[in-house]
Amino acid sequence: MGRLRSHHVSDEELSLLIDGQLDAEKRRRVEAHLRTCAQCRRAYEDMRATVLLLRQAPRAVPPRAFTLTEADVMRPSRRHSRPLWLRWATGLVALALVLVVALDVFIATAPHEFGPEIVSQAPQATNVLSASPSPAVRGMAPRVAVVAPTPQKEVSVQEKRALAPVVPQEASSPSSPPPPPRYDLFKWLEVGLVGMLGVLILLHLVWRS
Amino acid sequence: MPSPNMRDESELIRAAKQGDVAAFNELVLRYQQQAYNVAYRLLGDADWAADATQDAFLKAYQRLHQLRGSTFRPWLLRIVTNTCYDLLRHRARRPAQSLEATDDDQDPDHLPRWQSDVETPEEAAMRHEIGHAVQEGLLHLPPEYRAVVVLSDVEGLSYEEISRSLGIPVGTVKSRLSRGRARLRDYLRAHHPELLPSSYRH
Repeated sequence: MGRLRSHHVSDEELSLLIDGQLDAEKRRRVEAHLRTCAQCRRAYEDMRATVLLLRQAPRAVPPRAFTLTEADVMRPSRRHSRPLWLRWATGLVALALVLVVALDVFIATAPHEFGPEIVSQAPQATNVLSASPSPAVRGMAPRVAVVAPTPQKEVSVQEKRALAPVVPQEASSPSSPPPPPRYDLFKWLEVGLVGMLGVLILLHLVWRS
Repeated sequence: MPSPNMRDESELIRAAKQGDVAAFNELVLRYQQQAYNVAYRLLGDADWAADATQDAFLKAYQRLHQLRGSTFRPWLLRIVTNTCYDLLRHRARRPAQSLEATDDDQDPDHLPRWQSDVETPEEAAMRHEIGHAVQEGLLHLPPEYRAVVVLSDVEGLSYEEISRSLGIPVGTVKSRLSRGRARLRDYLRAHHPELLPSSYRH
């Protein structure tokens, strides 16, 4: 029904009129319009009646007194009382994890700037193609797609078997060239951050109860 | 000259801030009816309203140090409305629309006791019917409009008091109030036309 009474009086003006909050000039204009326009007059009278109905509605009586006891005052508020530091810590750790993973992937997929690292990453990458899924695969899938076609493939075929046991573990294997510190660092960072995040999530759940 | 009640109130607040729970409870007794009525009208359920009111007074006690200079009522009602907003967001919404179909007798927990005025039984019944219709309509409003309508037309607060209670500018109070009233009017036209004058004429 017509709230869009464009040449007419708006609901806001009607509402202000009911409350006596229109300045003299506007009030005269609105009242003049109401005298001639049946539609707006109905809208005004119904709105005014609505306000009166609200005023007439019975008042709800409290079922008891809401006074506080000494116990209420001692007990900390139970609702959503997870401390701020916990929320901040969780947020920061999650953010750090995302950044580390992103950086890890970025470096892996930008072979021109980071030559040596990619060479030793390639074997593990191709290894993933044949190996069964392991936790380490999680961060490596993107690298596989990009790195596989590199010329270092001959090297990778030899390394493949030697590296098979290495992939599921994060530690460096004696039979492969030691992974460069940066690669290792990322793995450790990721594992560490995931661990911290897990602990913080557990704390969140504990605090909820 | 300041009314005795106002002087009392600032003394009560001062004492309560220093940990005098009895002084705070004096304030509770003075404002609990209003707080509970607002909560009930915002939530549409007597039990939820009781929880929200108790929660609000507890929070008010804990946050007394934040009350500086401003009067108690708008500040308290701000806590009440925010507590009700939180409750609406967090609890699985029981279909409030079930209030339409429900009899007083069938769902006693969701209905509060009503303040009885000096009136005939017929007048009381009429007022209760109006109260139900109005409550249904209120529950169909978005919470922000509902809060303004309840504070203005059920509790009689001024625009400035509502502005302070809800932490919104007076202009926003005016627009939300007008939209809330218009929507409520349209709801009543559709569902309870007998309550409005436009139905008596043609």
